[in-house]
Amino acid sequence: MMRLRFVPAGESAVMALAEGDLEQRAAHLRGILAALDGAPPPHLVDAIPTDDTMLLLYDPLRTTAVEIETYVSSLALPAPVEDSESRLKEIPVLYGGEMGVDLGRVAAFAGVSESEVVELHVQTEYIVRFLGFMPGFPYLGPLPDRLTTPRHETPRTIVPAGSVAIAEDQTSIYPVASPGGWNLIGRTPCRLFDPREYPPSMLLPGDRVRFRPVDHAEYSRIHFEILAGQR
Amino acid sequence: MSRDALLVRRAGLQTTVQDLGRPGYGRFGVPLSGAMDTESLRLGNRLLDNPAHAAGLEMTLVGPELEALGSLDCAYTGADMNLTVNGRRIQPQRAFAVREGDVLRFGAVRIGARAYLCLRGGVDVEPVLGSRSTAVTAHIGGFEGRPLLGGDIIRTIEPASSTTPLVRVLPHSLLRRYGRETTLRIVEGPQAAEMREALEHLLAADWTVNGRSNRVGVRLDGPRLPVRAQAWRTEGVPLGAVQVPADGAPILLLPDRQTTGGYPKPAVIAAVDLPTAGQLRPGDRVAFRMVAIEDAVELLRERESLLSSARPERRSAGGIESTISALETSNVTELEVQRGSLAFKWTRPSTE
Repeated sequence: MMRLRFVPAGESAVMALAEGDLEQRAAHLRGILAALDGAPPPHLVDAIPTDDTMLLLYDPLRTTAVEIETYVSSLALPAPVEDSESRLKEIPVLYGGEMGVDLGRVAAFAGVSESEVVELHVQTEYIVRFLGFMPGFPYLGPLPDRLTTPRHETPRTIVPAGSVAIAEDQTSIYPVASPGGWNLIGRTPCRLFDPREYPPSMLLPGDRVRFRPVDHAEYSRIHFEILAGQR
Repeated sequence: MSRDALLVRRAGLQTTVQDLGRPGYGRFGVPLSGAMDTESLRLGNRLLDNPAHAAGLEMTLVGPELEALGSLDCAYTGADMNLTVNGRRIQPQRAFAVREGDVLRFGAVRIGARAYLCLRGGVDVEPVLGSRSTAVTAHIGGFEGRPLLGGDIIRTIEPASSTTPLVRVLPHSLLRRYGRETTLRIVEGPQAAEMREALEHLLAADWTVNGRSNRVGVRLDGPRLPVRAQAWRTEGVPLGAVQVPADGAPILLLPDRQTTGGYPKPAVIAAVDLPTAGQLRPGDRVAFRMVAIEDAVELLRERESLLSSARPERRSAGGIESTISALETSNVTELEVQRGSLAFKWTRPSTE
């Protein structure tokens, strides 16, 4: 059985640290999150997972870190889901041009052509490691080594919603317009975050993701279908 | 049921709809949001017998100008924002009534940063993920995820019946003191063990609130804290985390913080002092004091017990004599009341 270590994070939260290799830790934490969803301990307020940690926030007037730790450690975890069985999401992307103004920069860092960057980006299957930074923002990996590109030193004041981007060894999609320093290589018409739905995020930790290149016509068609509520 | 309550004539520096936030969605990257000074918002709702989670307006540094679109019961709490109603001064920490056409003009705060205006029944906007709070950086909640603009109309959820007395005042014993110098109690954060030296410096130094502070974080100027240049693990960020980025200048992470981050957090503000942190303004001086986790819980328990035991002092509308006699037996020193064109001012007679 996988073990967890706990570190206090103030009087209202405790950090659970998973041990083992990256894949084991991620699978373990996804199992815990699923189990907590089904049967949360009393007075747990929130649970925020990353690659190898889960922040457990609780009401300190009604429970204690020890009670939360005991509960989480004794959870009967569901059998680990094989990655091949988890949800596969396909994300249509219009690469380059004004939709992906940094495609050339990424190509220059990689020493390949822009179309080779697109090829590398779409031929990889990614795992949603966790969501953070802003509502519905997925941290996707692993990115092909070739595509590793540093962030912009000065972030842009506005990155449009739907921007598909690369920073360091990660790739992601901006669900809403925001300031950002990632390299923009394309844009998807998909709505990644919709607070009227539950879950509000289209992508969830553990999901598999593939990007599919589309042209202007298909991008527009999908965009209008989404606006019209047809998908 | 919902009705128009206030027209925003001037929006102020940053006026947003806030309640107690949106807990439970951190795993989707959704920030908590909610009032920076939750205690003042709760007390405002208490003055009006609203539910604790009712939404109000959070007003920052310079407040708005609002026109009443009907008869309204209001509560004004938090920092003193120099409110006048039709030109007459109204002190904070009280409930009062206004009529159609009355103009509520908030000015600038001199001490503290944020005042709250609650309405009977609560401010009505479409709840998003269970909360009416505005998350400005995430663009959700409140008025389309943004601060108020001139021309906005604020609606209120109409309660079944109005029972507010002429005026209700919060007892002084309930109120926090805001000053230009504040000591915040902290407890150990997730990186306390790896950052002993930084913690010692944090506790020893005096800090000044930087002007680039907002609902996401309060930045502090002072000595640079030692922080190892290493890749720290990315992890969830507790509310009130004292984060130390690579440049060594600490940031207090408040309700609109990101849910995850990769900078170390040697300390977390004790929950009991979060409302005080939410009143910090640029130029304020801040010091820190470390307390044990058990003590932080006990301090929070004591504070909550004080808040739940105290009751607003009722001023019935049953004649001026009864009001004055109630005032004389209270610990209120000064009171100014207005209802429509009627105004009443009372000052405790000097006994010395």
